[in-house]
Amino acid sequence: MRDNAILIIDDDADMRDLVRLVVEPSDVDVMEAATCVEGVAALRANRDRIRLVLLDYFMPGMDAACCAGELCGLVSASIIVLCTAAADPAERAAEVGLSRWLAKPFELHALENLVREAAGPHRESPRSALPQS
Amino acid sequence: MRRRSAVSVGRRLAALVGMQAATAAALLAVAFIGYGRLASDFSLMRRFVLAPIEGISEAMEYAARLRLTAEAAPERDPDLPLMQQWQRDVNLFLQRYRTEWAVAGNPSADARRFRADLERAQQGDLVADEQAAMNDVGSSLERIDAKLASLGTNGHVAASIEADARDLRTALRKLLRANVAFIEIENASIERRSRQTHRWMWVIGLAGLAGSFALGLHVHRAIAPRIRRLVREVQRFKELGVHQRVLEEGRDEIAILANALDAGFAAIATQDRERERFLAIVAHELKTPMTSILGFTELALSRPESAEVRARALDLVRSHASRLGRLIDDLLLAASTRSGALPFRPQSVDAGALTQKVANEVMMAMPARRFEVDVAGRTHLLADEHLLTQAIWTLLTYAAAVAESGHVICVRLEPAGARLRLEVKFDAPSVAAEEMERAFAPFASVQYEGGSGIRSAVGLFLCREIARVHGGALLALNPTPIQRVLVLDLPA
Repeated sequence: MRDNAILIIDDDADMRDLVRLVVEPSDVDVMEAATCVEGVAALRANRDRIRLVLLDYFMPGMDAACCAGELCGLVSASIIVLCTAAADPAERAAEVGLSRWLAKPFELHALENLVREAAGPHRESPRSALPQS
Repeated sequence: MRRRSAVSVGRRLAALVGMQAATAAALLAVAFIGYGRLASDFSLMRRFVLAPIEGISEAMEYAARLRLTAEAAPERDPDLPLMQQWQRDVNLFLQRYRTEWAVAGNPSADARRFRADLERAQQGDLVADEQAAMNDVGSSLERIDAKLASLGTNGHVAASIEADARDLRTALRKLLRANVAFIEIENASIERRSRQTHRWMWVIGLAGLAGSFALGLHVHRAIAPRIRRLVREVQRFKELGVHQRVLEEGRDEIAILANALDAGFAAIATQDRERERFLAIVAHELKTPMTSILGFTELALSRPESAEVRARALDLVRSHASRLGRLIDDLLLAASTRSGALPFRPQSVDAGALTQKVANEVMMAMPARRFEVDVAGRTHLLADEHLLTQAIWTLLTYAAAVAESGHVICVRLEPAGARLRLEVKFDAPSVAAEEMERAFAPFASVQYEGGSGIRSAVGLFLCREIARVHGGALLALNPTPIQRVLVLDLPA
């Protein structure tokens, strides 16, 4: 188990696999959750080492705003990034109470930068790298 | 915009037209009555004044001749037959005057009206004067007649007629004066009536004008500002595309028009929202698989040594590309349908094989859904293969999207007489019958939880349109509270 981990909450298995494959070579663990309930449980259990949460907008079982609300109750909102294929990602992020977002489809280096920034020793303010469109 | 208007615009216009018609009718009535009375007054004047004056003048001429003849009698023998003739002529005039022209004692309606006019003019004494003049004329004539009868050739006696002839002339002059007075009075009456008629015509004309103006203003106020507001609403909707409620309470034509406009705007706005929502869903549906495709291809390119990554990327690209192709076809065909140009190229198609092939595709795209496909009998038909494929794809993805999770979706294709019947049966207790109806609307879509996340399927609008161009129909049935059946009925 490594000191740093990221959590991907997405019902799309392809997306989870993609994140895992991209992040695997770095010194960061990838924790996967297919639902928000699973994601909240994983975050609660690993809150001390999770540096970044990637949250999908369309999720079964719970809407994104509720899910984001529960996650923000456990960690700072600044490490939660909303991933969405919606036409207006900034608006969606604001709608669920988040300020950071990653628009789908994205280039892999954008994801790598996010992970590197989150896991690095001298993290800049999360807002400096994002939002990305 | 809120406006209360209970009185119909049509009624207001009818009131305006009615007012103008009533004014015209009143003016005509006044003209008929007034000028009719004037004509009657002229008739009375001609009958009781102008006609007798000529007779009076002739009678006065005869009286003058009688006097002159009588005056010359002592020196010259009078022409007695001629004198008697004059006396008779004057007598005839008097008789005619009494029966036809006299105002006094005449029982006719015209004479009574004329006497009433005189009374109104406070000149009733003139009737008595006329009567007295007639009496004087009569008595003078009687005296002259008596003297002429006993005259013989006595010139002295003949001379005595001269005084009676003078009296006769004086009486006739008195009668003439009475008639002249009648003329003045009747003339004044005509002028009064004329003025009265003109006054009434002015009053009615002005009242009608004022009433028409007021009603016209009323109609104008009832229509013009509201029409202007409606035009502004239309303009605003045209410019901004934002629907604001156009409220016109009431039952008049403008309110009906406003409500119709409001319903039209609301329908357009709803359709716009549906289209925007549909486009957002389509964008999401296109971008989500694109994320995986782009991510995995980029990953495969950056790690050429990893066979696992390459195989995974290729498999993912293949499955997503197939689904994206269907979605794009759905969009293009839906757009063609909306523009009324759905391409239809019929050929012989084995619908059974086609159904099986599409069902396999859907099962691959939605591994969590279970299908049972049953094809019975001869299933060839004349159809556009591309369209039919798309219709079956839409039908099955919709059924898979709304069907109860874990339940089997039964697909049965069989001939039914000269037709082919594709029946898709599934349990969907959470989908109400109204919800099924809404799926037939353009831009309708349904979201479902697929094997790889939340996905959207297009509604049944396209499938129904494809059935229609084939001469068939798509029916939605609800045989039980939980069971739903979609039937694609096509001519074989």
